[in-house]
Amino acid sequence: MNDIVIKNKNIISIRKNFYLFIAPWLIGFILLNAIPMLISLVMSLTKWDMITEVEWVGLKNFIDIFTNDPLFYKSLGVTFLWASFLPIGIIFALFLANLLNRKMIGTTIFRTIVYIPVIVPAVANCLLWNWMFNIENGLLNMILNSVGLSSYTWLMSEKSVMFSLIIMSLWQVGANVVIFLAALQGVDKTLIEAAEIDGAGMYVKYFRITLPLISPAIFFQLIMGIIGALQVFMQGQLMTDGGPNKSTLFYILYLYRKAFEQNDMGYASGLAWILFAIIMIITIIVFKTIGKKVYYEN
Amino acid sequence: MVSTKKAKLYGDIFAYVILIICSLIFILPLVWMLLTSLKSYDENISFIPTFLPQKLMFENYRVALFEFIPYFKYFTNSIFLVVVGTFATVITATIVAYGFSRFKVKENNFFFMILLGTMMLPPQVTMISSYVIWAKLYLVNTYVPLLIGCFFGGSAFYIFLAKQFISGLPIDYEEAAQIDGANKLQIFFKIIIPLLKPLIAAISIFSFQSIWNDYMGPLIYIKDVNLYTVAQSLTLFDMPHETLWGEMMAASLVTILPIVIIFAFFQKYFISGITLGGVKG
Amino acid sequence: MRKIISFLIAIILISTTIIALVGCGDSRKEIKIGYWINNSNEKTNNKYIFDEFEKKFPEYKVTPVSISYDTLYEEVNRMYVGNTLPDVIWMREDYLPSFAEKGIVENLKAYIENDETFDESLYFENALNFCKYNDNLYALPRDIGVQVIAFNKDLMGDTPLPSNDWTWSDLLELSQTLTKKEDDKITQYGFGWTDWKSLVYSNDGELFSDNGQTAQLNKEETVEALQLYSDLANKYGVMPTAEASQGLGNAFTGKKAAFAVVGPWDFAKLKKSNINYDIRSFPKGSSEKAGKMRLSGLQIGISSKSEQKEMAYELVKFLCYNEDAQKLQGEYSIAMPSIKSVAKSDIYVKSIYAPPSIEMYFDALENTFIEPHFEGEIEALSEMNDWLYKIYNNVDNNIVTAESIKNSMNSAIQTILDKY
Repeated sequence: MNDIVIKNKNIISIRKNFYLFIAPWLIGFILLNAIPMLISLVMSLTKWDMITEVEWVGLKNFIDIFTNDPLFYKSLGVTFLWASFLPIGIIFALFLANLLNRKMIGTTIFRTIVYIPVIVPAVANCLLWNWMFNIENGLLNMILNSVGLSSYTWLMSEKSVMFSLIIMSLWQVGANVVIFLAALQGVDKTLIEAAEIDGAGMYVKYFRITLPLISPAIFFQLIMGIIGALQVFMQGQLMTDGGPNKSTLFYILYLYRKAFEQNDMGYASGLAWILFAIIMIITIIVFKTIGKKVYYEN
Repeated sequence: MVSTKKAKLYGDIFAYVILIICSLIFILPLVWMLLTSLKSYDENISFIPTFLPQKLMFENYRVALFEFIPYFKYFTNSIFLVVVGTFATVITATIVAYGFSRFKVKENNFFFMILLGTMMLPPQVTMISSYVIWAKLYLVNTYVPLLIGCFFGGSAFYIFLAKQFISGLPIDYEEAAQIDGANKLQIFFKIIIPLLKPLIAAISIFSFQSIWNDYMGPLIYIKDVNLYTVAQSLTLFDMPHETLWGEMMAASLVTILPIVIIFAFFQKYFISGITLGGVKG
Repeated sequence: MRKIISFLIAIILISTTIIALVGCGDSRKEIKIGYWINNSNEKTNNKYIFDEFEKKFPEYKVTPVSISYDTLYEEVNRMYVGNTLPDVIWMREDYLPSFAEKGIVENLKAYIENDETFDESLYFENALNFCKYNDNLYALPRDIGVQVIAFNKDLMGDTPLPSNDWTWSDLLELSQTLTKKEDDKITQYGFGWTDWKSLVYSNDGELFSDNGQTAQLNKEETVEALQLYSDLANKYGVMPTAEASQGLGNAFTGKKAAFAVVGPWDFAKLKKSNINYDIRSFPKGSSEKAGKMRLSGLQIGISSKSEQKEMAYELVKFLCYNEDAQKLQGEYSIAMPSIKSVAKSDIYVKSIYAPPSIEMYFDALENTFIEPHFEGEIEALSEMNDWLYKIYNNVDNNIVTAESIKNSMNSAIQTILDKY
């Protein structure tokens, strides 16, 4: 009897602390996020440009999206294709982070250089890459030509445009590198040393000790990567305008056009919530599968 | 012993080779920006671009920073925003993350999914409603809409990152302190925070960079020309009928500088060797 | 320690709010104008004009509110919904009908009718029509202009400029003569740039009819124009191809093309780059019919939610009609004033921003039409881009002729138009 009372008291105390600590976010959520999100949910049941009169259409938007809209499927496909390259980015970032974690001279400089692309202002970034990708006079083809390779079609062809955008995003891998660096710092050196004394080779040291210890960070990158990749937008808007021939018509770009160029905020809200559902489902699945394999120290 | 030394040497050489190649590629755009910033207007709009500037136009910097716009006023505005924003984000994000990490009640997962959910709805559909709400509160044209989120944990990004990090810390320290009678808040500030140095460094870097470079938020909310941020002011160089390439790149390079400095400064928290041993056994 | 931190934060938050609210030291009433900066000249020059206005109406202060050109449509919509739209706003000609339709801008008919001093004939022909929608006036024109073809006299060399009666075949011949190559790489293009719509118009073609309800893209004139657009770059090699021009500047202003289509705002750029140029109007199309070019310019209107509409009207009238302000504009702002007498006076004509052969330019201006804009246009044109790609972009060596896709193109666009 006493045990249960103590246990209940403990749970109450744990619960109290839980809410105490997450209060800043919870209050912020209610004040700042919940209302606009609810408004957009309601808007998805309308055909409305936010200025003229509201026209209630119920679930018509959703029905149209699924049955009458080839661009919905096209843009979803384009976006998933983009997202499928995510693992490459994570692996590359992890690789670089390990190199930069070594005790060598000059790592600070290398780390800074790797991070610099992340901080170049978006405007300058797009202008720069637009020039670099130019087929006849751009830097990249000039380099290719100088080593005897033929020019690549970069942004101008449906077949190469996605690849070009991937290259551009890999260049900004520094952000992910920083996270992995921080995680690698948290790896307890004594564990590695103990393993060395036990005669463990490189493979064991890395895959059996280091990797599991930084798996929370890897998991983080994966989840954030999925959420971010499925909402890719900037490159489509500023660099390719969805082309050529809609091959880079990302889902959010399509949504943006519906909302702001065709003035159908209701339809766009419908698209937004469908994406929300897709991302949420994928995230929950990843949490329940890969999430279980993540090693947390306690 | 010898073989480990050799292994390290080979490893280092391999690392250097890769890093140098990567660095050359990564720094290329920066070099381009620098060269562009030193070229004249005509050179920059010429159809087939030259690589090196014909004449070093250092006055692009003078025009960009002193004549065209009051750059340093905007610089100060941005400094204000990043300092307040980063400070608030670091504190609130770690507090909230601690809550999610250490207190396993049934609702924990539910609320965590809501947290992540806030990142899953495209902002394009909430932009206008948020704007209208701020407009009704007469707070457009102030920094409040831009900074307020930082006081409530920043975004789910920081909270999630912090949670992963905190979950990776051994619970032994906290248990020891609890037995000694400390309450949770005391434990948090006296024990957890010092262990989070690499995390705080990472959050600070990201928060600084994200607030410093954010131009979308200011473009929507800041219309008073005295309140512009430095990232927002860069868009002023790109006018519909004239783009001042040289000056824009000059201003952009100066804009990047503080982040590079902050990054270099926080490097000392990334030095390996934070041993957490000493409690076990 | 925590107390100090929270105290600091409180101080900072409070001071932000104060800083943000400060600036109310002025006792004059504010009249807000939303606009963007077109080029570095305008940056300082608008101030002269606003100062003049404040001298005329000393109880008022003109407060600039910056709005972006690229995202004007979203911005105006958003500010209208949030009720933060400035009293006076600059508009883009493609958005005026939409703003008018939605009631965002004020119908100026009553204001003009009540204003005895307002004389419509002072404007260039079509300048006021340009600001109308459904026969109602929604703005006044600050400046107007039209596209012409500019020739770089230095790059032309000994080749004479064509007469104003020239045709497409003349254009083709001329551009081939003026395209120079060196080792298989083009060092100078004949024809630097055109936009495809202008080519259609110069051939007396039209894109949409019945105010945007019918697509006319499979008509002979349109198809010919689209084909020429592609051929200039791909078949004859006299214009930069899609691959060549992506991400780079303009061949003509970059001094790598002998002649090109330019718009009224380019005159300033050409002067700034010391290009010695002259202008001609568009050549006639293949059928020798003279096509009219579209009128462009800047319209300034009043927000329908403004609380100072009478004063807003005064400001709009000042910027777009008042002789003094238009003179200042001609002198400092380099966009051609819409008031005829000012535009034709020395203030503009002798300024370094007026084009040479100015009489020809005025004639071209009088020979313009108002391009219709309608709901669904943005989506239709966006779809057009994909079809143009098939005709014009030869990166994968798979371009098709305009003739072969004209019907599928037209029905695709028609489907979009039918939605609205």
